[in-house]
Amino acid sequence: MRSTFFGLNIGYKGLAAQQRALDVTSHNIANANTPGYTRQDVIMEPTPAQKVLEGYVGTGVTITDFRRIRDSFIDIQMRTENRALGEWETKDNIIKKLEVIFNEPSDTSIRSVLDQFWEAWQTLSKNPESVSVRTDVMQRGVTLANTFNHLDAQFLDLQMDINKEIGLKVNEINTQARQIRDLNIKIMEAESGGHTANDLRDKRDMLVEQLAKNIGIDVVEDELGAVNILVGGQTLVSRAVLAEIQFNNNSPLNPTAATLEWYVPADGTYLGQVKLTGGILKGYVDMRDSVIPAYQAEVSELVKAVAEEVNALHRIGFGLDGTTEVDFFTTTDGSLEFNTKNIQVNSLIQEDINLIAAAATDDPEVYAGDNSNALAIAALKNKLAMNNGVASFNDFYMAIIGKLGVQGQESGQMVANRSYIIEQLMNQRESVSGVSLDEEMTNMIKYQHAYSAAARIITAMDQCLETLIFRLGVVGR
Amino acid sequence: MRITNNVLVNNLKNNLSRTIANMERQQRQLATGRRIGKPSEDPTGIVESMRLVSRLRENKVYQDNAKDAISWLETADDALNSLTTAVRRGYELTVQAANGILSPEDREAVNAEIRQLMDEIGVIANTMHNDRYIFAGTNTMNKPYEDGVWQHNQENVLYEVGIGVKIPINLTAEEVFLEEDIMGSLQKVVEHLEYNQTQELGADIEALQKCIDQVLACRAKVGASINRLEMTVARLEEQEVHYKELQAEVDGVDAAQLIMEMKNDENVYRAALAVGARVIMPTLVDFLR
Repeated sequence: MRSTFFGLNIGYKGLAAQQRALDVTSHNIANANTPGYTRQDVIMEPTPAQKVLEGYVGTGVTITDFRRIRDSFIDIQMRTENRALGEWETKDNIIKKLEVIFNEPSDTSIRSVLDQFWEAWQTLSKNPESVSVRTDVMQRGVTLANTFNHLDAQFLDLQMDINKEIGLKVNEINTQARQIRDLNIKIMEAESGGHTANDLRDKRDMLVEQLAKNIGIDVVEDELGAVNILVGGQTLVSRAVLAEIQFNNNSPLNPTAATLEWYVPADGTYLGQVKLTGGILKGYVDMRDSVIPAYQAEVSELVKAVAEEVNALHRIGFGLDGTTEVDFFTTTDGSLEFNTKNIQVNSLIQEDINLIAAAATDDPEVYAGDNSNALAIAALKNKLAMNNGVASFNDFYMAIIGKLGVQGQESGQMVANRSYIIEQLMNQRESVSGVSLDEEMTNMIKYQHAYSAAARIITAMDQCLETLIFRLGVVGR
Repeated sequence: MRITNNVLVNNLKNNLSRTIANMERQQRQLATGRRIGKPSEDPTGIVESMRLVSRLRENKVYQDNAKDAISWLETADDALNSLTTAVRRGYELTVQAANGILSPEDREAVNAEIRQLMDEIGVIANTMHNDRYIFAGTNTMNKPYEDGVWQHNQENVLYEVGIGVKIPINLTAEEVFLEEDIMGSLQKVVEHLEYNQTQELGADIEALQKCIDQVLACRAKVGASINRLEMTVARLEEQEVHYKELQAEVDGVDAAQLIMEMKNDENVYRAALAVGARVIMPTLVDFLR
């Protein structure tokens, strides 16, 4: 036997479901431009049918889920690409800074200054007695040494800057890890009832992706809906448990000595060095510890060779007053090893330019007139003194610049490639998860019409009941 | 593929920024006139360009050296010219004195003139270029000839006019004045005239003739050196042009081509903007009432 108000109830279920669907549509539209937002879809199902004499009769509609439309494979790809992009962007950025430091091509680069230094010796060979030319030789030497010293200072500055950035990044990473841990807790709570916590997950996915760009991570989601994040095999976040990365930069003037260490705040233990596998942090550490020191070492090799070759000739020459055995370049700290930081023009020569040895003959009459030692030193420019006698100083230096160029080109291309892939992935994700206003508008009209129709059904039911109650059986009035 | 509004917006943004980056590069290249701004833009190109810049500088130095050397040699040439005149005059006077029978007054006059010539030759021996004595070997700061005493050495002053190419630019006093002793020969003439030993003058004439030959040989040598250096300068100048051409090929900007590319990108940019404006604007919302 059919209940009198059965139809009214179906109408009401329809009204409620369509209205809820409109709410979701509205939520989608509101978040159309929210970063990380995943569009949601209303899943409606008919409520269980009732057995009546004639068969099964439908009982209306119910909403079973708000589905989060997302392709988790794109998430995994995004994390991989972001890790690489983070690393290469950082490297590219630092290499571009190195290019600025080397300042090629320009008139103030090492190459120009070195050329000018040899030219000064050429001029001296033409006027070995001239005080002004001697002063010029000394000054060019000072400029050369200063340029090397300045380069060294800039390398150090860059490494110290990198450490500042690393410090900031480590803070950011720790904050992100903490937020992910907090969201893990909320999501586990929320999903214990069996429904997915859509918006919380959106937020967490976005944080994980940002974290992946900062530091190479492995992500595993467990059965409770929590994500576990590992960095180089060590757990950063595991459900509600958290580890921290600590940046120890104790001696700022020795930037490569700074370390990244695991620290567990819960029990205050240290778990050793952080093993980086990618991301911005790895880019910084690689540049600081290998790339910059490598360039520094190569330029130092050049400094050493130039200083030693010039000194070897200068020592056997004679100054205006016959002084001999004088080094043209000396180390700044008095040690034997020349390098970018450790080179200057001999202070004796800076005080007395007569000591510059242009003459090669030990004869008081020709100390002022003999130019052969100046010529010999000027000729060092083209001597194959580097790489076991196959390259001149210039060749060697240009190889450094060439290498820098190739590295810069590579990093630039890597960034371009990764960015392009990420662009494509973003579009794919947008295509799956993004909000389409046209679609939402269509849905809105769809739900609105369904709502109106359900309301109309209730009106019809209402009229039926009116007929039943007021028109039927006037006999009793 | 499902296209959402944000896909359109993102694509538009990315395309616009790519085109703009292109235009930025073209503008920079046009403004600087150089194709390569940083090593990473063309690593092989920049190494080549740097090598050429270095070579150009070196070339400039060698040109300067060669020109300075020519100027030194021209000073020497002038000095030798005067020297020739002086020695010739001495020779003529001696021939005159040997031929005729001179009165003591005439002998005295000839003698006086020859002494004058010797003084002048002394001045010529001390010729300077840029405050340096050019006939003193490498002992350039001391007068090679003073009061009949020679102070000099036989070393060459070398200038470098190419990689490893060192050219001697000086004539030593030995070559010019002393191998055939000009001063000594004239001194003998003076003595012979003084003591009226005219029969000895024949030998003096012969000696002076040899002196003239010696000076002329020196002039020829100087002339040859100047020629060689002028050729060197010409070659260096040609090389400079050549290097500059290569440099332009590596690092120069082909303005016509760049401007064309830029115009092209500008059109793409405008088109992207126009299409973007049409695509982004409308949604279904615009048509609902």
